Amino acid sequence: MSGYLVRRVIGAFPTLLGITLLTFLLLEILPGREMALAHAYPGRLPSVETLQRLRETYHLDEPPARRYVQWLLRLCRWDLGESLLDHRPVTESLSAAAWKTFVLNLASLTLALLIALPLGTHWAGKAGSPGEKAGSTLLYLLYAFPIFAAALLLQHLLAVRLGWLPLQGVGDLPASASGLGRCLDFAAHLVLPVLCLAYGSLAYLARFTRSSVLEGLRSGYVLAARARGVDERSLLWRHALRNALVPAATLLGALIPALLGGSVFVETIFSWPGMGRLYFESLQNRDYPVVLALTVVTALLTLAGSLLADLLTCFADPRIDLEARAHVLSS
Amino acid sequence: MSSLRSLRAGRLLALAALLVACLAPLLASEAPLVARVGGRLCFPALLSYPGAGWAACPSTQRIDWRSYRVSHPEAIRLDPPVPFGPEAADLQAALRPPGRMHLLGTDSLGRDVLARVIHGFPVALLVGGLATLLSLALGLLIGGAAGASRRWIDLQLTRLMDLMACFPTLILALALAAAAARPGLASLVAAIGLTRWSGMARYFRAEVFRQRGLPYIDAARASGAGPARLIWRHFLPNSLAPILVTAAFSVGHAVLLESGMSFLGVGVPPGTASWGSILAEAQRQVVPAWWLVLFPSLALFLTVLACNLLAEGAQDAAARAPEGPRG
Amino acid sequence: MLRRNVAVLLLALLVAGCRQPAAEKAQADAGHPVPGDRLVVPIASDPPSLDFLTCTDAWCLLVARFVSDSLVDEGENLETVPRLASSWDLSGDGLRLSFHLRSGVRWHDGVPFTSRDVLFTYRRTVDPASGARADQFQEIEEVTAPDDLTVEVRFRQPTVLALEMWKVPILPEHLSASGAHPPDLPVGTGPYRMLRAVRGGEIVLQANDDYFLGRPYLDYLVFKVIPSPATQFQALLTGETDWSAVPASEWKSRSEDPGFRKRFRTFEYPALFLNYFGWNERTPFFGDARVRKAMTLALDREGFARTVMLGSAVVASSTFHPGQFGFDASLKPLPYDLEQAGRLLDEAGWKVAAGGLRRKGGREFRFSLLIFQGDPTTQQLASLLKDSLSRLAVAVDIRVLDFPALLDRLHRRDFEAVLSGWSLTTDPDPTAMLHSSPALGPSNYVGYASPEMDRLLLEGRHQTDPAQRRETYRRIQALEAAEQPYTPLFFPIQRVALDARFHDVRSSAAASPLRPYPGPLRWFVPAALQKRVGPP
Repeated sequence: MSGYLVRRVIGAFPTLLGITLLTFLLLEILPGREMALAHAYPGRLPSVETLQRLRETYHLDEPPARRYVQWLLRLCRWDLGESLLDHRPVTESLSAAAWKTFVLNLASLTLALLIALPLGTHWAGKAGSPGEKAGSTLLYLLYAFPIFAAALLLQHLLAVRLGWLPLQGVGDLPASASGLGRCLDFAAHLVLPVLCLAYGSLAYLARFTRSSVLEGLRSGYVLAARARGVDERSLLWRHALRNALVPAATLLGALIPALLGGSVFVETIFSWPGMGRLYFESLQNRDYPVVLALTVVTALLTLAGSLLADLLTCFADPRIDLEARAHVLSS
Repeated sequence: MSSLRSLRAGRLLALAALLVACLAPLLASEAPLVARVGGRLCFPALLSYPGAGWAACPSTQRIDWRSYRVSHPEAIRLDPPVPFGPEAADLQAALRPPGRMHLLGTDSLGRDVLARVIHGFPVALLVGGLATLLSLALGLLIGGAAGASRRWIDLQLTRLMDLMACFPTLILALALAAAAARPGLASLVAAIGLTRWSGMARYFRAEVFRQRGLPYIDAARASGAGPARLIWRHFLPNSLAPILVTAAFSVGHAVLLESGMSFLGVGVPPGTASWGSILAEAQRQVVPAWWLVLFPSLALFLTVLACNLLAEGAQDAAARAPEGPRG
Repeated sequence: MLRRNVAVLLLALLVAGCRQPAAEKAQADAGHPVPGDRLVVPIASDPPSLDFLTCTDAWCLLVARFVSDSLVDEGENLETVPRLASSWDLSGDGLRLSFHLRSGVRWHDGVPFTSRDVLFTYRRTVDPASGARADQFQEIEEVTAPDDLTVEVRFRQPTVLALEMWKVPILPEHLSASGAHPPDLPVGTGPYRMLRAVRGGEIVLQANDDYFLGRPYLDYLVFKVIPSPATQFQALLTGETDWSAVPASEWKSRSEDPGFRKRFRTFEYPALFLNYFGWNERTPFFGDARVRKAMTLALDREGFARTVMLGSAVVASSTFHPGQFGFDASLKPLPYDLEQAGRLLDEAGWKVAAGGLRRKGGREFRFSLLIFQGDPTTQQLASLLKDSLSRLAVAVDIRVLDFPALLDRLHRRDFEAVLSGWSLTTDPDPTAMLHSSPALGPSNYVGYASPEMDRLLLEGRHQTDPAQRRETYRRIQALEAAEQPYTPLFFPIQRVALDARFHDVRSSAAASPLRPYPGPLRWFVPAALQKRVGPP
C-alpha cells in the first residue's frame, strides 16, 4: 500500500511538469499578446516601435522553449510575476481571490456533506418507501439542473423579487461598520453562492451515499452483525455508513475540479471576487501571468485532491485496490 | 426510479428533443409553411433545409416575409405554430412578458423567446453531439492505443490522460475557445470535444487491458491479428454498451458546457439562439425578466435530464445483461 | 383652556420667527465660499501605477489632474485655459510657440518650479526607454528653455494641436534622476497633494495651501475603490460617496423623483467616445460608397438608442462630437430606411438571386463582422445588424474576439467589417481616421482614400482662422455623410449625480463637471451643510 502511495506521489511530479508545459503551450497559442501588453484600446493602437519595445521587454522574441524554462525556474521560486493589467504581484491577487474561493468551496462542501450523508443514510434505511422514492427522484432532478440556471433563478427569486438576500458581492457595509455587522453581512452574502454551488454535489453525494449504504447493508459483515443481534439502527448508522464513508472520501478528489469549474459561474453571477471569476476575466484580458498562475494552481489542487482521496482511502480500508478504483472514478 | 422507467422516460424526452431539433425551422419561422405567390403554392419555411430549392416562391426578389405579411396577408396560407424567426428583431416589442402574441415573451431586441428556445434545440444537440463524437473518437483512439501498446508508450499516454484530467473542464474549454483563430460553432465544438476525452480514454484502456487476458484474444492473436484489428473487431464491440452509456452522459455534459460558455459570452456567436445566451441576457436586465430565465432553463434541464436518464437506464440494463465474446 | 391655546400660538409664532433669520442666514452663507468638507468619488479599480508619465488608465489620469499641473488645460466650454503657463505666443507661421510660465510656483516639497521641469517632461516622454506615449509630441522639432520662466517649442510644421498636446502633467526634474523608481506618492505642483494611497481601498488628496490660484475650498479629495457600478450607485444613495454615474435603467425614475432631486444634482453629457462600424474597403463589398451607405440605412440606430440603450446615447451623424468646434448641427444622421438600402445595393450591382443571397459577379454578399468580447451592447447591435441585413438578403457572420486579438487583426488590416470605437479629443481633427496615407492616417484601418478628403483634412489642420476652419470642417462632415467611410453610431451619454450640498458646480459641454479647469477647485460646501469634517 505505502509503496503504491509513494509511487503515486513521485509519479505526480512529471504530471506537474506536464501541467505547466500544457498551460504554457495553451497560452502561446492565444493571439494578441503584444496588444494586451501595450494596454491598447481602439483608437489608440500602439505604434510599430512600441510593439517592438514590448517584444524586447517581455522577451517575446526568444524561442518558446527558453521562455518556458525561464518561467518554470521563476515558478519554482514562487515568483509568479506581475499582472499585466495592474502590475501587482500575481501572488497578491491570487491569494486574495484564492481565500474567497476557498471559503465558498469549503462552505459548499461542508453543507453538502452535512446534509447528504445523513440524508442518504436515512433513505437507505427507508429504501422502497414512497417518501424515499420521491426524495430520490427529486435529488436526481436536482443533480441534472444546470448550475448557472439555478443561480439565476435563485438570485431572481430570493434577491430581486423577495429581497431576502443581497444580490451580489461580498459585502455592502463600509469599512467603518462594526466587525460583527460585517461578519453577518458577509455571511448573508455567502448564502446564495453557497447554495448554488452546493446543491449539485449535495444531490450527487446523497444518492451515492444511499447506494453505498444499501450495498453495505447487504454485505457479509453487516449480515453477520445482524445475526449477532445488533439493532437495525446501529447497523445503519454505525456500520453501513462507516463503510460508505470510504467511497465518499474518494469522491472528494473528483469533486474538487467540479467545484472549481462551477465556481466560475457562481462567482461571475454573484460578483464573488474569487479565483473562478479572476480566471475568466484574466483570460478575457489576456493577463497571461495571472492565467498561467491560476491554471497551474487549479491543476495542482486537482492533483492534490485526488492524491488526498487516495490517501484517505488507503488509511480507511487497506484492502481496497486503488488501481481498480481509479478507472471507475474517471468517467 | 426503476431502470426501465428511467429508460422509457429518457427515450421519450430524448425523442422529443430530437424531434424539436430537426423540425425547428418548421415550428418557428417568419416564413410561412404554405404560401400562394404568383398564382402558385410554395413552401418557404422548408428553405432552411439543404436541397429544398424547389420549395422557393416564384419571385425575382427575395421575399422579406416580415413586410410581405403586412402588404399581402392573403398570400399566407399556413403559418408555422410560432410565426417568428429566432433572430427577428422588433425593437417596438422589446422585453414583453408572455402574452397572446408572444407566448413566452420577448427579449431585449424584441425577438420571440419561444422561437429562440425552439431553435436552441438544434444548436445544443448539434454542438453537444458533435463534441461528444470528437471526444469519443479521441478517447477511444488514445485509450485503445495505450491499452494495446508496449509499456513505455502506455505510460506516456496514461500520463497524458492524467494530465488532461487535472484541468477542470470549463477552464480548459475557455482557454481553448479563446485560442481559436476563427471563432464560431466549429471552434466551440473543438474546444468542448478536446477537453472531455480523458475519461473515455481511461475507461477504454482499462477495458482493453481486461480483455487482453481473455483466451479468445490469444487465439485471435495467434492467427495473426495485429493490435488495430484486435481493437476494431474485438475490444470495441465488447465494450459497446458501456461506451454508449458514457456517450449519453457526455452529450448531456457537452450541452451543459455549451450553454455555460454561451452564458459567459464565449460560446455561440451573438444572435444565434442558444439557451445560454438567452440566460446571459436575462442576467443583464436590471428590470427582472423572469420569462428570460425560466423557459431556457427548463429546456436545458429537460435535455440534460433526457441524456442522464437514457444513460442511467442503459447502464442498469447493461449491468444485468450477460457479457461474453462476440464476433 | 384659552390661555393654553394662546400660549401655543405664541410659541408657534416665536419658533416661526426664529426660523426666518436662520433660513436667511443659510441663504447668505450659500453665496460665500468657505473652506471645509471633502468630496468622495468612487473609482472602478486601483490605478495600476501612479506614475503620471506612463499611466493611461482613467483613474490615474484623474488623480494626475489634481496632484499635478499641465501647461494649459480645458475649460468649461472645451476652450484652452492657462494653467502653469500664464500666457503664450504662437508665431504667425505657426512654427514657434512660446510659453510664459507663472512665477512663484513650488512643488509640493518646496522646490521651485522652473522651465527645466517642462524640458525634462518633454525629454522623458519622447525617450523610448521610458515607456510613455509620445505620439502627441511627434510634430515637435525641438523644445528649449531660454530662461527659468520661458519655454520655446519649435514645430516641424504648423499644427492645430500645438496647445492641445501640452495638456499633460508636468513632472519634477529634481526627483526623477534617470533610472530611479518614481516615488510612491507622486509630487506635483497641483491644487492637491497626495496624502496616502491604499491599495484596493482609497486614494486621499489634501488641499495644497500654497497653490498659485489659491487654496481649493474642499479640504480633501477621496477616491474610493468600488468596482461595481451598481454598488457605486448604492454608495451614493447611502451617503457613503458624493458622486456616481447613474445607471441608464434608473435615470428616468430618479430624475422624476423629488426626493432624489433634492439630495442630488444631475448632469448629462455626451462622452467623447464614438462607436462605429468600419467597412474594409479592400474587400469586394465595401469599396463602393453606395454599399456603405446602404449598411448605415439598414440599421435602426435611433430605435436602438431609445429601446436597448434606454436613451443613454446620442446618434452620431459623423465623427464630429456635438461639443467640438465646427460641429454642424444641421447635418442629420441618415434615417432607418430598408427600402432605400435595398435600392442602393441594387444600383451597386448586388442583385438578389432567386431565393438566395445577393450576388455580384458570381460572389455572394456574405461577410464577417468582428466585434469584441465582454460588451453586451455591441453584441446586441451586431445581432440587430445581422437581422436587418438578412431582410436585404445579405448574410453576416459575427465573430467575437477578445480585445487584444481584435486589435491585432485591426493592426494587420485583416478583417472585413468591424464594430469598434474611438476615443475623441476636444479637437475635432479626424485626419488620423480618414487620411489615406499611413503616416497621416494611422487609424484609417478601413483604407478609405479620397483625394478631396485628404485635401480638406490638411487644410483644416493648418488653418488658423476659425471661420475658415469651421467651413472646412462643415465640408468634411458633408463628405463623411455622403461617402460613409464609417457608419457612425453613438456617443454614449454619461449621466452623473452629485450631492447637492456642493455649490458653484458648473456643467461642461462634453465632459463631467470634474473635468474642466479650474472647475472643482471652486466647489465649496456652505458651513451649515458641511457633512464630513476633520481628516479622513
